[in-house]
Amino acid sequence: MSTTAVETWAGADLSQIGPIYPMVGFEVILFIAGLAFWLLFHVLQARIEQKEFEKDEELARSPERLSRVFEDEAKE
Amino acid sequence: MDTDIGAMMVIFTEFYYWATIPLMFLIHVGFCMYEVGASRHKNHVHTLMKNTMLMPLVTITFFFFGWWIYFAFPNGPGITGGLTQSDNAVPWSELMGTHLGGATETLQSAQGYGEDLGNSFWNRLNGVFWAAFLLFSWTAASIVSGATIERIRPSAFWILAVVIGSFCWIIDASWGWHPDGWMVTQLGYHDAYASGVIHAIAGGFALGVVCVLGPRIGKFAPDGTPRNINPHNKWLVTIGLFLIYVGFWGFYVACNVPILDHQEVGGAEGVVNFTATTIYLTPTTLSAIVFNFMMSLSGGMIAGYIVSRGDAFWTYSAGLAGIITASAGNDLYHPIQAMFIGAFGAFCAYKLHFWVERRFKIDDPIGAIAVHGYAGFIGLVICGFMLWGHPATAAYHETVAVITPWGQFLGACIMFIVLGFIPAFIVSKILSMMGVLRVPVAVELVGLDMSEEIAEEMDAIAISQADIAEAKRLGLLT
Repeated sequence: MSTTAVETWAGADLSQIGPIYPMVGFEVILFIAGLAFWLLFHVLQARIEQKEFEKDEELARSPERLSRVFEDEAKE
Repeated sequence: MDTDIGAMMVIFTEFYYWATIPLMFLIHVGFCMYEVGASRHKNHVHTLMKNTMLMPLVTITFFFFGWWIYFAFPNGPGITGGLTQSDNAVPWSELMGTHLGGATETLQSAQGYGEDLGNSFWNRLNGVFWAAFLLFSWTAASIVSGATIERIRPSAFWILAVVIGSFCWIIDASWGWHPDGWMVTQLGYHDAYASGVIHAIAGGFALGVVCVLGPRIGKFAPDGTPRNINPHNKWLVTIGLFLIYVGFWGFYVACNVPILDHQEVGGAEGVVNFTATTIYLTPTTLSAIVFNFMMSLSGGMIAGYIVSRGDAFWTYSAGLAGIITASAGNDLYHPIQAMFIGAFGAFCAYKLHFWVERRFKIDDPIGAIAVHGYAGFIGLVICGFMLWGHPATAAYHETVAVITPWGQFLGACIMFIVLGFIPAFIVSKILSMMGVLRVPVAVELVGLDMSEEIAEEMDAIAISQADIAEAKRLGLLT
């Protein structure tokens, strides 16, 4: 029993062997899952970023924090 | 793979492309260091992550559709024909994974390179060839990243990175960097080491984004005079640029096909002529590109030093501009020609950068548009004059297309404007109208890393308090 097309390399003629990854024949499903994974990243990342910027905007309302940032910037 | 020489050629080619990949990784390391060094302290982490995350995003999308575009689009489609078959490059192809060459039906429709070798060729080379192209994709997107630092939203940049890295640039590669691409066969377009197909398009794309994005706060005085926002860490910038130089060796080598018998692509029949070729399958040598790489780098650095009055940042960047200007014809130029072409391109890139900055208020923090875009464009046009009449097409084409100034100029416009500037401008406009292109003004002022910095401060305070409590418990502190 093997999840790939190969159960032993003994006597194997490589010129007759094709794909050796598991689940041959399910490539289209893998592709669709991969696409979903990619698009999901963009959606989740945009939400994370939005929350972070909201927090940063709140922090920017502190004159003390702002002047500290500008002082540091002037020293760079 | 069924003859000794065939097997040696395939396995040597496999190893050759593999070796270019870690070298080109260094370009990306260099870009990351360069950008972080050029940005202000308050934006470091976001600058780093913006560039870093383009790697996985462009990689997976290049697997999903970028590689297919390269093989499917040489005719436009709709310019000289329809989509071409590209069964080896669709993401669900068995050849897009671990494959030993047999069992699958030989892909007659996916011949292209290695026509006689069928599956045996593609099962060995598909991945390494894909990865070499992928690293070009990263470079294209990374060039754009540098021009947008300190004010673009990472979420917006990553969409733009996919657009250039897995779509626009690979269309231009299919058109102008494929032996059967319509720009090659119809315009005689020649761009052996990617002055246009990587650099001009990325520069044009960056310009399109920056036009919509606008300058960083404080970059221009109320009267329009540009202010210098100097690099935060010059040494990081220096090492970054050096690493880009190093990575360029891999970039150049990956633009060649290392070995093939010229008679197989239309050379003299019955005469065995093994040679390295350009991506167009036209003969060249590794020596040619080594000579010309070094001489164009040197020409650019010397001109950059003089024109910038010894400014370190611009001397390094001018070295890159020198290589980029000469790259279109560096398979054929004499080394001294490459040196002068590199020097001229670097001079023009420097002058154009500051002229465009003053005239159009374009904020390009690291000179990416000039070094890649303008130098690449100029290099293509120079190549048209220098190599006028030389065959652009490989020997197997029945009609020989020759290199001309007008073919190269048109090609440069397609790269910089049609596939670079315009798509970038449109996508950026859409993102801008949705309010998701630029970071909020307050965030830009306070710095994109503010939440991270506060979290780090809180962590440090918590640890300090824990240490104080422990010291008190031990009686070391009262």
